[in-house]
Amino acid sequence: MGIYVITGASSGIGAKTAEVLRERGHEVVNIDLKNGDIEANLATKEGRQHALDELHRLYPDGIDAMICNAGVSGGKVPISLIISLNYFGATEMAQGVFDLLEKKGGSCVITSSNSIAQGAARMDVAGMLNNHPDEDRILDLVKDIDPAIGHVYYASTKYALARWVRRMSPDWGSKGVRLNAIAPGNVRTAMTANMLPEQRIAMEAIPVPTHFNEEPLMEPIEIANAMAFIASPEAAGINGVVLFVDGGTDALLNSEKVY
Amino acid sequence: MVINDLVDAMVNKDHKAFAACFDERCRLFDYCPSLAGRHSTFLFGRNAVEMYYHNRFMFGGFTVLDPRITDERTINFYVKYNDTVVHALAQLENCTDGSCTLDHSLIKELVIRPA
Repeated sequence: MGIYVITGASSGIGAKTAEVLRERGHEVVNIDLKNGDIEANLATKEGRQHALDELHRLYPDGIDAMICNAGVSGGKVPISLIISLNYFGATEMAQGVFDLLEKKGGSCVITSSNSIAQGAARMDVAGMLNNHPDEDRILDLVKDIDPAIGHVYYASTKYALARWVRRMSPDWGSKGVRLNAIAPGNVRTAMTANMLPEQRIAMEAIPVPTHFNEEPLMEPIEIANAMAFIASPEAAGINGVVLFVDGGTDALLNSEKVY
Repeated sequence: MVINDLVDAMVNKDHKAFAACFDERCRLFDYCPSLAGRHSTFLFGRNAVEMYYHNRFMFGGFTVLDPRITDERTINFYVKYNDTVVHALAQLENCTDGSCTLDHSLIKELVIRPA
């Protein structure tokens, strides 16, 4: 059985994915701010380094998969947290365990979002993250921005993550490590439980076809099963893919984007 | 006539009333978004129409301005796709009653084209 590392597995999609993997007999390591096997604040460089040091100490012979899932939605939190946790908390952790993944021919999965296809992302922000990822300078640039427009920065970080996966995956794949992204639709999690009323109305206007006339939010298990599959050896032929797990929302709104 | 209900629903941005104008196995094609730098719209089935326009009506992706019914099958109107306004013609190509004039008629095929 494999060693699967997940960030942000104390709740939501991460917790359900950990549950699915444990049921399949894998060893799961949860890295989270609270209640993690390794407790670390992945929004900070120090927290990320601590987590990486621990992983290298505990698993010097390598790991089978890294699932970078920790993230925060916009609306109530500082923009700087969205950027540091969602983007740098994923890309820095993924790159930091590349050597461990390479030892076992493992795979990495990044949690993106289907909001990347809905036009909300700011391409200048995504461009900065992908092309000049200087965390300190970018955080300084956004320090005075109103958290109320956090959803734009959320979509920007998730867009940048998906593009980062596309850009990095050829090289990683050539070294035996697969790199993919999952783009979930709106899922019932702690994040969505705390939505403002206007956010809820907006969320319902992003329909999930498989939930037509039902609860509009997807269940974490729907995402977790896809996450577990794409991280597994059964998905050996899949690399550099941004897999929309959104019940068909992207197909509904963007049917002509075949590729 | 169904065309009156369709216009009312578009003006009121009522996605459920809009979808109720269509047959369950309808087709809706809209070629105008290409003039706004977007892909054309191709929808199959009433549920898809309802879900798609729920999104578009909410987020400003389809705002109807000055609709004029020119006959029982044609609407001449302006449609705003976010920031771009396109002069359009919506044509009821086919209805369940064949003529689109009976009270309970539903749209089987609607095509929206640049005017």
